[in-house]
Amino acid sequence: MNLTELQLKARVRTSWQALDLGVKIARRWYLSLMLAWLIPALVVYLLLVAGMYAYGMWSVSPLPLSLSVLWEVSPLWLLLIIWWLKPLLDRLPLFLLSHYIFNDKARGWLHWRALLRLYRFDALLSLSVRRFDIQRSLHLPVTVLERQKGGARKRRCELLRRGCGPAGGWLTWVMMSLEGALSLGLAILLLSLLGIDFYIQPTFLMKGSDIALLYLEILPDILFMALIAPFYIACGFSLYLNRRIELEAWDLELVFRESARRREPQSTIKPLLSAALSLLMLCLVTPLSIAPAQAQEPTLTREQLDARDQVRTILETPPFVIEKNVSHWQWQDEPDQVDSEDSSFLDSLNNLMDEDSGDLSSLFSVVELLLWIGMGLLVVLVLRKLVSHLKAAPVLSKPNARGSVNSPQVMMGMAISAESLPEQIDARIDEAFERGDERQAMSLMYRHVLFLLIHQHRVPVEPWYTELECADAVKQRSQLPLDGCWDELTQYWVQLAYAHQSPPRARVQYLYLALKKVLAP
Amino acid sequence: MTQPTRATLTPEQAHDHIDFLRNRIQALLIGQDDVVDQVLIALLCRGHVLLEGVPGLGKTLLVRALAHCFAGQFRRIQFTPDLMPADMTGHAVYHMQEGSFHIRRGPIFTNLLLADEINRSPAKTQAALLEVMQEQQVTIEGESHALTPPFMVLATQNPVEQEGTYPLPEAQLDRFLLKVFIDYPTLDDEARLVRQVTSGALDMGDLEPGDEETLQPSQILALQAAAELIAVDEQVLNYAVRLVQATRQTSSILKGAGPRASIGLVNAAKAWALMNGRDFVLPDDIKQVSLPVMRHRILLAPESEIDGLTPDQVLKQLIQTVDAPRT
Repeated sequence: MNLTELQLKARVRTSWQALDLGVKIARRWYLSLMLAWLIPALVVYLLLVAGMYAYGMWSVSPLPLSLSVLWEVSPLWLLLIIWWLKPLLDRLPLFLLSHYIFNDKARGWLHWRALLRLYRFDALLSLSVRRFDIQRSLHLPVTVLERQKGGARKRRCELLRRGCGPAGGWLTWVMMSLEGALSLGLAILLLSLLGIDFYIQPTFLMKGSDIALLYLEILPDILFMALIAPFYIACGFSLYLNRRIELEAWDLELVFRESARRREPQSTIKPLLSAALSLLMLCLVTPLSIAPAQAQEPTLTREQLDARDQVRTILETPPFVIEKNVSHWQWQDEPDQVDSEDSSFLDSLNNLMDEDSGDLSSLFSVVELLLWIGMGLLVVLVLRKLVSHLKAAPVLSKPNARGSVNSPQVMMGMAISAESLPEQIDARIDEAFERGDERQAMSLMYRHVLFLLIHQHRVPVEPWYTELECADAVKQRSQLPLDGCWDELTQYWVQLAYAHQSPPRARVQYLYLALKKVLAP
Repeated sequence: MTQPTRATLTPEQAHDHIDFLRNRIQALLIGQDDVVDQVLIALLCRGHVLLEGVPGLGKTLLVRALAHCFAGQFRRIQFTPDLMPADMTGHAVYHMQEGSFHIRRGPIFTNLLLADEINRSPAKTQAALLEVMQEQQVTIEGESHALTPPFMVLATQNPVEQEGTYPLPEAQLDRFLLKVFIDYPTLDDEARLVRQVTSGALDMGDLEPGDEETLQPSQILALQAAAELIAVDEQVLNYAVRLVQATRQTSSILKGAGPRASIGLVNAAKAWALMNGRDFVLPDDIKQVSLPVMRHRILLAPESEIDGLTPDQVLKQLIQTVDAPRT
């Protein structure tokens, strides 16, 4: 593992950025990764098919009857086996990917013995206890690349999981869903293209040729696993690398290496710089070693001091210094370091209870009884309030309904508010009739009656209503004994307004007075 | 064809004729009183009607009943995908013996034309109706032939079966004065209908020509003239125009109704006023006919369609935003 050959920029990323990077990595070397997964899977598939075929040729089954029936009834077991072997099948693409990432062009590992070692290492536990490990992609490099097992592997995995464990779990869920979506999508596509009814024949009813077809039908599922696997492995590896960059400060190391490389031509100061870097690394990694370093300060030359200052300046600027604003609440002291008085009080109470538990039990019973009584009273009060509210509802509904009528101030372009009507309206009506201004007189009469109906008798009308709609609204309020007077007055009004037909003066005045007698307070 | 003479009617005669038409049709088409009224409105103001409803609600019966009420001609064209314009309008035929072309008139030369399932024919065939509906004349071989009034097209379409149909283009829709929805009858009406049909009281044979009293085409023309004479106050006319203009200014409508809608609105309101025994138009008449006049002339905005609104719902909201006329 040569860090300087790392093919990606070493910096600390969030888990989700690391996953994005993993997708990019998978796309970069997709074909080789996919083939590295698919070819071994196909080999397994062919071996299993050949084995089953050979088993079928045997006249006497070597398997117990129940097992042989189970085996024979569904070649889907093949698919299950290949799916179960995924932790092993993922190893070669990961191994290949690690070589790509660190630009290792040596091909010494490409030997069947090496491959066998790769697949055999810790295989039993990978396929049994750890098969359903939800963060498998994150833990895989520990097994494959670090070759750790047992307690060391467990500790290592725990360390890796901190920070990016949830992302590893989500990765597995998402990739599983994608696999399922691809399989389901293909099935639906075929059904929609073929236009046939979907029908699942029970496998135990299938003939030999149908079962042979089933052997082929699982091939697309294997292909889908191979299509998804590079993304899964690369994303997991990216999470793993991200965690190691964070833990082992690869980014800092690479910066130092780069600085050292840039200063390489100045061979005279190289030993000095390397000494300073080593010193500072010691300071950085082990803060306690600062004291000895300071102790050596008088022995440093001027150039060494300059170099140290430069490095310090660099280290005090980003990305080496990360300032964060912490906005959440945090205990300044440990919770157990609370006020000693409280603690002593609690201790004394505890002691009291221990000593006199027999005497206090009656006190606790009384308190419990009081609490129950209080609870009962609360329930009674709530119920009483509820009942009174329900009883009052019908009574309250009428004033609410009346109040909710938003009486318009203008209807059909006519102002019908109290302020818009003249003080002595009857005299004004007579004056208008005397003047021959029937329209003015009728308008005053109509407006006045409309005002009484809408504002005093709360007839619900809307501003866009026409005359006939107002008449209909008044009809709905059947408790008003208008005896058709309002309808007749409306008819005379619309005849005058829209047909310019003069109404009989005596009749409309009679109607107006009759209406006013009923409606006026 | 000879033009029928146009007689003038007294208000009482007009009401009698309208009642006669209304009662005769309602006796046959039970439970669709509003539809009958709207078809009569279109007849009185020389308009055409687009009837929409699921099969079996009596769309064809309505038209046949209307034809049965007056002594005019009635023709029916079943629109099919292979129907050609010349199949409707007619064409020129070469007469071998005379050595000249003769015009063979199509079924469109009638008084009442039932265009059954009009959306089953492509736009080319539908467009053949444009001239006859607007100008009331047909051009065959470059020669215009006027139709004998009264002329009315009643087209039907089914809102459910949309497969293999050709939606009517905007220009064609605009030619229809009213778009009328025929809905299912109420429980009581349907019970009455079933009772009458099963007891033999209502027979489709009633629609065959007989000795019953019918109106003459001239009387229909007189009714149309009477509707024209209905007075419309300037404020009511402005109200109708404001209603139509409001359809062009709201964001819930992508394309509002055109001036033909304003004209149709006032004409239909006049007919409705006549049918209600008035000689002047009220704002309520405008409101009453505004939905059937405008519902097919507007195009809803995509947001309204996504919200599941229908043209009727949008128009009802719109009507509430336009104040009744100032008097």
